[in-house]
Amino acid sequence: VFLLLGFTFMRAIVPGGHRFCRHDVWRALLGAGLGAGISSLAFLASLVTGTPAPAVEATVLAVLAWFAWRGTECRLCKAAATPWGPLDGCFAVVFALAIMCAAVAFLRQAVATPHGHWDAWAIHNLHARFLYHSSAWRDLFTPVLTWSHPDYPLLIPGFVASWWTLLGNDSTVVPAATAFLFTFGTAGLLASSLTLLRDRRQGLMAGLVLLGAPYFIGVGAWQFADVPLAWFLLAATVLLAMDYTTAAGLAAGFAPWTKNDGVILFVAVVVGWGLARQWTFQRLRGFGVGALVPLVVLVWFKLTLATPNPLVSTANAGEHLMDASRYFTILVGFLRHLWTFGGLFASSFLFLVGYAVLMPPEKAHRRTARAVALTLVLVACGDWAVYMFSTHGALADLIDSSLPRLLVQVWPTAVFLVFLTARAIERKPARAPAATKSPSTEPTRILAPATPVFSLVLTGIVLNVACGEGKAVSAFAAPVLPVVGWAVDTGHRRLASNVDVAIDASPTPVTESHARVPPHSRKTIPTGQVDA
Amino acid sequence: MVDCFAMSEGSLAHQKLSVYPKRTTAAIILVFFMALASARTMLVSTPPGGPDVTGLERRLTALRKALPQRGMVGYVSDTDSVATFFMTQYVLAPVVVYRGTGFATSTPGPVLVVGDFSSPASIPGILATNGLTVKRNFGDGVLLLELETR
Repeated sequence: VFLLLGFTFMRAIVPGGHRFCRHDVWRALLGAGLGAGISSLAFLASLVTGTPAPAVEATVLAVLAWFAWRGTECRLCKAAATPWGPLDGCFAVVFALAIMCAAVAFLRQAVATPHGHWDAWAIHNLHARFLYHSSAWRDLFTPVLTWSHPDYPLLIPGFVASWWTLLGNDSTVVPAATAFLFTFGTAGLLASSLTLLRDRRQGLMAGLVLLGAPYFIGVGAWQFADVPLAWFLLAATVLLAMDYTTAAGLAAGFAPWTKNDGVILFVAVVVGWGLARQWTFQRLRGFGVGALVPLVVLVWFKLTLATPNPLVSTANAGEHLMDASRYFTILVGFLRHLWTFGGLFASSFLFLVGYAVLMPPEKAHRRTARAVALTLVLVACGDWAVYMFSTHGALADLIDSSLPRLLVQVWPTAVFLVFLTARAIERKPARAPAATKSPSTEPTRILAPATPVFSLVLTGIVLNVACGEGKAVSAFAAPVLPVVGWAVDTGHRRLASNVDVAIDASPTPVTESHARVPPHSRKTIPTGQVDA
Repeated sequence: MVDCFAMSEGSLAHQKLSVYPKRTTAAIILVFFMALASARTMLVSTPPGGPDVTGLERRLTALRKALPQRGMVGYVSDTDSVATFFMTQYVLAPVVVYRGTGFATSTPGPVLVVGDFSSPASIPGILATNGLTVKRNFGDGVLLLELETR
């Protein structure tokens, strides 16, 4: 139901024809998260009014469907579809493998901690259990449960409780599936959005970099709300970059409805984009219309139900502001966690910076990039301010326990920023007609060594993990690995040869980079000669 | 297959590597390397555990059924573990669990208290101190208690 709600909303905002088109995957990826938010609001409305949740959802769906039906054609489809090149195929294979590895890791964690990690069961899943037992849901806001932060917004608990109500039991699968949806939905949204805004290669590479931070997957599998928050920040950013202001408002509005930290993200998005893109009143109004419903519900929630937040206070604000040691502690904390973020031997941000250095920004999307960068800076400033005014006794401990998760919230958007502006992955411009080989086969050969090697190593890792001990499986893996490598190698070679034929048969150049090669220099190399 | 890995001067793979700018090739390798390192880290490392919520849920299943659908109950234990108390609240929700018996003065009717003990020897002392009687023993250190006097 939530997927239908979100998808219909996206169809209403980004109109399509009366048939499915290739952009519906992107709409569904965005619709899944937005639908979860709408579903949580509908569930809360049903609790407050006593109306069954399906009735509320059906009403919302009917309204959205009416708007969606009015669309006659997909604006996005006017741009010609980019054909799949061999390099795209290689990237897609690697991306699919990375997704599989991350999914295996996610499921292992979900099995190890079916109720999620600390904050998940002590806050979000506990709140969901109160909401699920509808007769007792207001008991959640008793001061006795202050340790569980009853002031936390209810997007995740509301969504989980709506599913439990539908299923008739409070299965641990639902919160885990919700976490899965947002974790891998972030990767899908990032890749698909950059594919639309730039090209497929940038999208797949960005997805790989996102999944390249194991900590991101870990936090997702622990069922923390930081990953959904990251999703909403990314969704708002993507929609603003594509000029869908109202939908962006809804996505940004769901951020403070997910977690208190989301207020910072919301303000940062409004101020960052408003300043960098010099928003007119009309644009601000469009954004506000989208954000209106979640913000009104949030304000009502904070005023009538939520208990006060004990973590931040302005009581000692002057004293904290004058305390130089706090500045130093926060600065050191930021630097240290930026330096170690990601769970690899080196910071994932370091890899991202490395990529940005190797592929420096291009002029395209510069204004959008400026807005995204300003948003991220403002988020950092907001987090800094929270630490400054925190009433938590040990500031260093608070930073150590929370900052890595705050970095998770901005990680997908940071990756989006770099890949939105990074130099395109293209061949060198042809200098002379002496270039006699088919351009479409070149990327295949570049990645020909890389893809099988990557596949072999990953297959080895998966097999080792699946069987528990590397020693036990080595005898089995020995004959399997070369077969897998051969299959992948052969597969993409065939793909390459097919594309060669297609390109040679095409009367017009397929891509911009392809167009740079003079037509008379194009020549198909038979598949058998690839390794000759 | 073998030729895929041949990168000697003059090989096709070597020639074609030069078709892309070196920086682009380096960037692709960087991302692939990151993905590989990430996959290895995610799959080889043991997923971190946490407090055993499932185990506690199993222990408290019978107790949960004996409690009212909603309301507040007290909580006493012979351990100071905050984690166990939090988990007990999670498992027994939507019943609100109050640590201790201090809420009893404002609650009409019989006051129920959850007892979770790791050592049987500590039970009599804690019951006497708090004025509690055993209403039902679920075994494994799990007791449903009732406050005797107010």
